[in-house]
Amino acid sequence: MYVPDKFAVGEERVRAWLRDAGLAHLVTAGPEGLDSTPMPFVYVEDGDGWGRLVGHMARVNPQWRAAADAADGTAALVIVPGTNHYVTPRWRPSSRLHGRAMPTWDYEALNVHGRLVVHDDPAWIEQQVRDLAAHHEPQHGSDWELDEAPRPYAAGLLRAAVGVEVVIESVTGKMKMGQDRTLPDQVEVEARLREEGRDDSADAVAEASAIAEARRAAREQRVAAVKEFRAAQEDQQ
Amino acid sequence: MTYPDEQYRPSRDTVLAWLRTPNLADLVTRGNGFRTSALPMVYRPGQTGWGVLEGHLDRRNPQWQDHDGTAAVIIRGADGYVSPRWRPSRGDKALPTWDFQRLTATGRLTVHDDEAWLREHLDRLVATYERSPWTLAKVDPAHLDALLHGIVGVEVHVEAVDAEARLGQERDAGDQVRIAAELRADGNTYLASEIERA
Repeated sequence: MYVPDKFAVGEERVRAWLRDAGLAHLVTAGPEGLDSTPMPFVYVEDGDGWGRLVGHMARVNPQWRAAADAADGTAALVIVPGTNHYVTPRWRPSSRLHGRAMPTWDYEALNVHGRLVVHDDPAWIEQQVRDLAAHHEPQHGSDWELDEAPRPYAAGLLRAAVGVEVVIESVTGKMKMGQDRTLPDQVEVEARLREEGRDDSADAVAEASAIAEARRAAREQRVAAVKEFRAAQEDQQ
Repeated sequence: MTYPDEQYRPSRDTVLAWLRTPNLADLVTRGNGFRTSALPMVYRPGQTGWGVLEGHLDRRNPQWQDHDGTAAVIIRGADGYVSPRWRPSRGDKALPTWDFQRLTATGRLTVHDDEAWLREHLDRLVATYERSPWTLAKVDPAHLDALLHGIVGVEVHVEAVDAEARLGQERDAGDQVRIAAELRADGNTYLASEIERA
């Protein structure tokens, strides 16, 4: 994923994003081209690196077969979608004042690159399903756990799944939320999104504005410091 | 057994409606490893087959030069977690699941490093995405020229569409009503209304 510096996301935020991820797209190269499957993952942070994304897919889905046959798995990509929205030039004072604004789509995106490893192992899959439920049930005001389902029933369904794990090699995060727009444009875009009830989007734009303003202030400070240094040098001469 | 199961496969008309609906897409290609870009795309139906998805990339994005001539476009839909507690008709015989809609279009990738093509493409993009009467005529011409130099066009000639709508078509009607209500209470009105239409 191409990420200009102004849209880059730091490691801590990327990790938080992986912990909160919902449905993500697992992409691999199959015999007939690219395959993709949407699935929820649990992010496991272990070892020195980025850790692993752990999930499961339907056994009838052919995507996992190639990775199961390879000794060290296959190359995999996981696309984790984030907040996104369309921005009309109508929301931007820059467009009304001097016609220097185009429509755009703001978005956050996360690309995870790694190796896909298959776990065709009932105990592993059962633990994975327990971990997923423990992660998601409390977010919906529930304390359901696998032991509430009759054992033979649950075992039957779990046999229809295979475990998949992406051992992460690298992660790229991108937040393109108007860091390159003027502050008045950002203030209006944020307000319009809030009017439309899109609080997640409005919050992301506000965060981007704060980041862009902090960078601008830091740049101005550097420029002022250089000027001061040069003025002092001239005084000495 | 075929995958996905017949009952979860949307009709051709539903797929065409998804392709036409303004949305953010993920363009996935393979060159030196996997490359992706998130971008809005415009669907142009063809005389035969599936037609074309077109978009544009930042010229500095290496994806348009580093690819093997094929691409997959992933188009997002509604999705959300479904708790077993929301399925009263099942008693204890229910496991958690994740409902979703997905569409992956695959085909040949062509690049248009061509200002005339890009101008027409941007007109089609604005006509598809902009709900107000705003058009490119409102843009300062010098500003537009500079922007056109900074982008390249990409086009996927769609050869296959793999789509799936897993919205609990197999679930009890009363459970579906309860699930839609729970999703709405969670703020996921998108999935709630797609389940009601399924």
